[in-house]
Amino acid sequence: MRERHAIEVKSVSKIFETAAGSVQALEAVDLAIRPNELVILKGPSGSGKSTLLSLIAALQKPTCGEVVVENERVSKLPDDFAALYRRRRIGFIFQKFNLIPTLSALENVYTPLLPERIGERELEEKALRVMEEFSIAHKRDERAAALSGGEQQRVAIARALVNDPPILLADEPTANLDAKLSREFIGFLERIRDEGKTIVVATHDPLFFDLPFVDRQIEMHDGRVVGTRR
Amino acid sequence: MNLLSPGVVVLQMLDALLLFLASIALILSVSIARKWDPDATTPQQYRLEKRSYLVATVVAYIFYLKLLLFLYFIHTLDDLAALLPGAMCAAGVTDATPYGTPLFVVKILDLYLFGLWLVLHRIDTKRVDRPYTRTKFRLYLLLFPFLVLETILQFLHFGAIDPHRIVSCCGTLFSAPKTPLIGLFTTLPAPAVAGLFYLLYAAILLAWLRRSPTATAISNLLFIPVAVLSLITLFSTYIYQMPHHHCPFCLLQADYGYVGYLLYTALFGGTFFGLAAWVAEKCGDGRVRRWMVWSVALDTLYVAVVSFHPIAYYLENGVWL
Repeated sequence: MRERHAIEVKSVSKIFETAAGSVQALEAVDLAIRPNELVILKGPSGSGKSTLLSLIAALQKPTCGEVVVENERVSKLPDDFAALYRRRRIGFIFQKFNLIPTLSALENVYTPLLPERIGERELEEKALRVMEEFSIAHKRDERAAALSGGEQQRVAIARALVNDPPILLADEPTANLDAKLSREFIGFLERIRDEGKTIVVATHDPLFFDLPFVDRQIEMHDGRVVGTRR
Repeated sequence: MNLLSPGVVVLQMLDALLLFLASIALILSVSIARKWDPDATTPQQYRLEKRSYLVATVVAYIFYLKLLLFLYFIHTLDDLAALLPGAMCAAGVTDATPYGTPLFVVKILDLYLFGLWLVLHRIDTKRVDRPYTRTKFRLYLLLFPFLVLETILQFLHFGAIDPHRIVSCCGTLFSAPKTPLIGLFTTLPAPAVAGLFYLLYAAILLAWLRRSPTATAISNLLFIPVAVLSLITLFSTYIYQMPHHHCPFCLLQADYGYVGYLLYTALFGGTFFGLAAWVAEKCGDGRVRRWMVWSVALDTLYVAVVSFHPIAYYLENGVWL
């Protein structure tokens, strides 16, 4: 019987056209990730980790090949359907958190829910529930710009999970954090994984490399997968 | 000497600009129409997908603008009547050159064709697999010559109008017709025209009650010429309250409360949505019933407004014209 996959990357290449010429970010990448698997994508800067995550999140389209997430060919999705896919099925934690600095922590967390057209009360309740889970509810009315790095990170995690997506993607989530906050993030990651989510983390932070709860480490170099370790 | 009123300049410039954009879209459409393969994951297909969003958006905006520009075209023709000796309304301006009537016919035809393309585009973009992308770009290749023809006719028409030459007024055009077709329009027996008109309206209602998009489309398609014919032959005389005034253009003037805009919008909307319902049914789209309701509602509005005038005239005067 064919194994069920949460994420399948099939012969994906990505070439960026720049003024200086073509840059091959990914070259014929094949990858399959099972549901509830926690995968670390590791490799030096420029190895294609972030590009791969953005293709899984349907933020970009490949140059060739395809990405299939939960049996949906996400690389073939038209833009409006890709937005819907991201909103319903993907949580994304960015390296610099990408919070909206002028909004409060609570508003930042419920932003992904706004297009769902649910009442303001329900919106706030949902956001607060996930903020409490990550011990940040007490900062609900603080402007994002006024929060510390650790607090911003929690708000970013809460925002990524507020839609209860089955897949969580994190791109260098600890790059702007000190060692203590990085370990805290890893603790959060274990909790999220125990909730049954499929997680892909792109990082070159060594803290992630020997974690007992990580299922697989995939090493990338120059846009290619060069090794896998369980 | 050419007639260059502000309205004409605006129309000529906008149509030239839209034709330029449409030509670029045409070049890009050829490869989409030829090479589109929705299942492919090749660089070419991804390139075509990106291009198709851009081109479809450009084409859609061109067609939306053309629909709006039609109203401005009518308004401009009506305005020009004040500048041409002999013209009393847009009819005289249309008849001022041999290109006027073909231009008018092509513009109306384009309204339906472009509108139906937009319906197909809308259905296509609501589906995740974009099943009609190839079809709509092939259709665009077929529609492009109509766009060119319309623009050329408009340039020829406005370019050939001589403001020093006396043109016929609508009274002459529609009362002592110089073409056999218009002569036929004004001399047809009113009861027969009215009978055909109400019969077709009954067919539209029946098609709606039986929820048949095909019957709705056919009855609406037939309703277009019959509605125009009955307006010229019969109903216009009651709107003007003059037995020999048959002009379909004077209805657009302030003297008659701009009732023509209401009538023609309702007639276009009703018949267009009737055709759109058929397109939606053929594409398996869920909006079939909604468009049929719009079609019947607007057709009914048209019938109600044109029928009101003879009834009001009869109640007031006790005779039919």
